[in-house]
Amino acid sequence: MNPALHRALDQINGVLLGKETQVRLSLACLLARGHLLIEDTPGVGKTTLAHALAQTLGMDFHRIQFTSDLLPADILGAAIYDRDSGGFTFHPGPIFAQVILADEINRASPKAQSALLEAMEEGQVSIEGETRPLPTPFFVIATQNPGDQAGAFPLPESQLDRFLFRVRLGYPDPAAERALLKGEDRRELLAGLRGVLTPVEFMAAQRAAREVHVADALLDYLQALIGASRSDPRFATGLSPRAGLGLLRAAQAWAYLAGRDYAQPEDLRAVLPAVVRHRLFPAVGLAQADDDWAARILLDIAIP
Amino acid sequence: MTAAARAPADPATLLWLAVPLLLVLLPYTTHLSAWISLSWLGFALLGLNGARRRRRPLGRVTLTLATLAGVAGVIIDYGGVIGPGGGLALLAFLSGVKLLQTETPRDRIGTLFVGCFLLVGHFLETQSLPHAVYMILAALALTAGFIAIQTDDCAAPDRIKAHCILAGRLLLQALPLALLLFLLFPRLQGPLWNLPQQGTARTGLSDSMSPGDISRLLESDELAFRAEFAGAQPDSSQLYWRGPVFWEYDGRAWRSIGLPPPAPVRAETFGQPVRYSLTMEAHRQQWLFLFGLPEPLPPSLPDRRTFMTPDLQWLTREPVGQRLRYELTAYPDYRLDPVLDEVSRRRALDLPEAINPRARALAARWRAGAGSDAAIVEEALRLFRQERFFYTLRPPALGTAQVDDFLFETRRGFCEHYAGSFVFLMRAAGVPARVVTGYQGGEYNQLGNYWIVRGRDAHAWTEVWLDGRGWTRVDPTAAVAPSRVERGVEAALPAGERPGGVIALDGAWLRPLRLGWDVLNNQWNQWVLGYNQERQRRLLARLAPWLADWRGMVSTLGIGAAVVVLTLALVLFGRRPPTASDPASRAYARFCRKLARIGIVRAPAEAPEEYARRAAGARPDLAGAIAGITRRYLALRYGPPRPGAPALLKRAVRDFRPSRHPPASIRR
Repeated sequence: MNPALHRALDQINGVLLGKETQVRLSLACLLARGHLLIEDTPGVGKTTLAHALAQTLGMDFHRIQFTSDLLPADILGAAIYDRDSGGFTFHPGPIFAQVILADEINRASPKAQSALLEAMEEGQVSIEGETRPLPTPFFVIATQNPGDQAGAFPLPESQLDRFLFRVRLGYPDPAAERALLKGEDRRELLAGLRGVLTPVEFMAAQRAAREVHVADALLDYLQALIGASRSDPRFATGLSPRAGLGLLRAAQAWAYLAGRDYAQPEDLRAVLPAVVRHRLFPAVGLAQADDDWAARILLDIAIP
Repeated sequence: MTAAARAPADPATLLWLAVPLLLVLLPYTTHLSAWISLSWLGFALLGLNGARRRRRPLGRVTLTLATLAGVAGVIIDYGGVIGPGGGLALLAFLSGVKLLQTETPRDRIGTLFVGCFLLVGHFLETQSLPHAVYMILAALALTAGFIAIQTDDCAAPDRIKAHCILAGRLLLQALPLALLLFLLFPRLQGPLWNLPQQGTARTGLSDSMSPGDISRLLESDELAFRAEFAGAQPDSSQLYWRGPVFWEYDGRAWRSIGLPPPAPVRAETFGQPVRYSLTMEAHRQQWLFLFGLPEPLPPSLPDRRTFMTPDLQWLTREPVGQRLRYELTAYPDYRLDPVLDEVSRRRALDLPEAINPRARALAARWRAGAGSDAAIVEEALRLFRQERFFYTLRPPALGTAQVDDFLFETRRGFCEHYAGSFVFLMRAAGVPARVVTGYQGGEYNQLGNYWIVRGRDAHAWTEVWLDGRGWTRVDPTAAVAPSRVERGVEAALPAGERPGGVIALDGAWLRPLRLGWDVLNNQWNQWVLGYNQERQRRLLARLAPWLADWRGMVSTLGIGAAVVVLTLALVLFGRRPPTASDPASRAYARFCRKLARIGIVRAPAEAPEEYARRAAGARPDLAGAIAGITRRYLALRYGPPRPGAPALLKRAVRDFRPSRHPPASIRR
C-alpha cells in the first residue's frame, strides 16, 4: 500500500475517532475522482471529516455554507466594476479551490445547488460568457442533513447521481465517544494538521488507482449487479451507466488502498452500499426499510 | 409451535392453492352435487378472508363438524364414499375444507396433492381430446402452485408468469419419460381406467322397433362409429351397416323374441372382398355392426367373446362398455340362406291375427294377380313410389291399425314406417320377410379417409326371401325418398324439418374444420385411448420383434427411463457451474466442495474472502490453508495473468484435505 496514503488515513482517523470505514471510503472516493456526499444529523463530524481530508491531502480548501438565500454568484464569483481601472474585474467565488466543502447543501435553493453541481460535472465554470477552469484536483465534499428536516430542498435524483459516494457517519461508538470527550478540541487539532501528501502526489495516486487490473471475471460480477438493479421489480429504476462506471472506479480505488494491483469482488462489495445508497429507490408501493436496503438486495446476487 | 407458525398462509399463497384446485374442480361441477361446489366456494372465500386477517377462519371444533357434515352429505347423496362417485365427491369437498387449514408446508403440499389425485380422477369420467388438453392446463397450474408455495415471495404479479413458465419447463422435462411409459408400459386387457360402469344409459339402436325409436336417433349428432376401408371406398348408397334383425310383430312394435341360438350362417359369396376397420363408440348394447358378409365366418375378436346368429347378427356376450375397434374382411355381395328351413319360413310369415284388414286385402289382391314373389315385391315398391308418400321425421300419430293408417291415411313417415309396413305387406302376401336395422351411409371424411357414422344415419330396411336369391335386401325408403340413401337423411327431409344444429354445423366453410377436428379425435381414439395390448404388441413388433413380449418391454422401459433421466440430469445439472472453463474457478469450486463436505457451504453471493473468514472462524485449524488457497484463487481469477500460477492453486486444493472434525488439541 502507498505509505503516504496510509499515513493520511492514520492522521484523519486521529481527528475523527472511530470512523475508520467511513474515512477509508471517503479517501477511496477522492482517489476515484468522485465527489462525496456526507449525510447525517448535525454535529457528528461531517465538517471535521471534510476539513481533515483537505488538510491532510495538502489542498487548498474553501467552505461554502449553503443557506436558503445563497445566490449562484456567491459560489462562482462575479465581475465587479473597479473604479481605479475603469473596468470590470472578476472576483472569483469560493468555488475556486481544490476542495470545496459545500455545507448543508440541501438548505440552498435549487438554483444555487445547480450552480455548484454544474461546476462539479464540467470541472469549469462559465461566468459572464467567459469560461474559467477550476483547479485540479477538484473535489466537492457536500454535507446534507437528512431530508426530512424542516426548511430543506432535497437534491433531485439526477443531481444525486453526480456524487460518487454517499456516506453516513452515524454516532460514534462509546469508546470513541469517550476518547472524543476526553481529548483535545477538534478545531485545534484540525489547525495543527499538516499535509501528508502534495496534490501532485495525490494525483499520481489517482492515476495509479486507475491502473488497477480489472479482470473479465470482475466485470461479469459488476454487470450481474447492474443487471439485477435494472431487472429487480423492487427498484424504481436501475443503476445508470455512470453509476456502473463509478462503481468500478471506486472498487479499483478500494483495491489500491488495500495495496493490491487488481480488484476483486470484495472491493466491489465494500464500496457498493455507498454507491447505490442514493441511487436506488423502492418501486412505487414498496416501503424502504432502511438505508442499506438496496445494497442488501444486490449483495445477495450470486458471484459468477 | 409458535404463534406465527400457527397462522394460516398469506393470501397470495392461498390463492396459489385455491386457483389450481378450482381449475381442477371446474369440470367436476357438471356432475357434482351443487352443495359440494357451493361449500367448496364458501370454504375458499372463508380461507381467503382468514388469510387476509392472519387468523384461523374456523375453530377446530367447527372445522371437524363441517368435515363430518360433508362426509354424511356425501354418504347420503352417493350412497358411500368408496368408488368413483362418492370417493371423488368426498375428495372435492375435503379439498375445500383443506383451504381452511394451510398453516404448515405439509398442509399446503397435501392440498395440492389432493388436487393431483382429483385431476387423474377426471379420466374415470371422460377421456376426450379437449378434456385432455384442459387437464394439461390444470396440471400446469398445479405444478406452478407447487413451485409458488416453495418460494418466499409469491406475491409479486410477475412471479405468476415466472412460476408458470418454470412449471411448463418442468412438465416438458417430464414429457420424454411420460412418452416412454406410455409406449412401453405393458398394457393390461382393456384401458387402465376401466371401472365398473355406472348406469346403463344406452345409445343407438335398441332391441325393438316401435314408432319413434329411430326418429329420436335421427335427430342426434352422436357418433356411432367410424369406419375405414382399405382401398377403394364403396358407394354411400351401398353402405348398409347391419345391426339388429327383427322378426316378430305384435301390431305395434317389431322385435326379436330372445336371441336366436348360435347356429352356422349359411351363405355364398361372390366377387372380391373388402377390408375395413370399424371403431365403435360405447353403446352399451351387444350388437357389432357389419358391412357385407365377413370372412371367416363367424369373425372373432381377440379380447371378446362374440357369436353370430343365422340371420347375420354379430353379437358380443358383454355389452360394449368402451370404445371397440375391429378389423374385418367382408364380401359386399353374398347370398344368405339359399334354402329356407321350415322354422324360419314360418317365423318370417307370422303375423298377428285380424289387424290391418285393408293391408291384408291389398296383399291378397297382389298375391292373386302376381306370378312370383318378386313381382309382389315390385308391386309394393310401385305403391310407395307412385302414391303420395312423404318422408318426414314428424309423422302424424297413428291409430291402433298402424299399418292401415299409415298406408291408406297419413302416408307420412320415415324408414321404420316404410320398412315395417313393407314387411307386413310381404308377409300378408305370403312372402317371407324381416326387418333389419342398422346404419346406412355416413359422412365420408376426405381428410382422414374414413366414414363417420352418426345417430342420424340410423336406418331400417327389409329383407325378403326369394327363391334362388336367398334373403334379398329391399329398402322401401329408397323407393319413397331415394335421396335418403344416396345423400343422407338431411337431403331427404323437407326443408322445414332439417335439424337446426346439423345445418348450422354444416355450413360450407365449417365443414373442413369439423372434419379436421374429427380426424384429430379419431387419431386420439386410435392411438392414445385405443393403444391397447394388441396395438402395443403390433407397434413394438414392427420396431423390433424382441420388444413385443413383456420382458422386452420391461427391460427397455427400465433402460430407457434410466437413459432419459440421466440425460436430463446431465443437461440440467451440467449447466450449473457456468465458469468451468478456467482452471482457477474449477480448482476453487473443488475447494468449496471440500469445505461443504465438512459442513461449511459457500452461499452463491458470498465473496471468497468473506467465505474464507467464515470458514477459518469455524475451523481455526484450517485457517492457514484456507487463506492461502483463497488468496491464490483471487489473484488468479481477478489479477493480471501470471505464468504457472494455476498449477500452484490446483496443487494447494488437491492437498487440502479437511477432516470432518478438528483435531483434538483444538477442540474445546
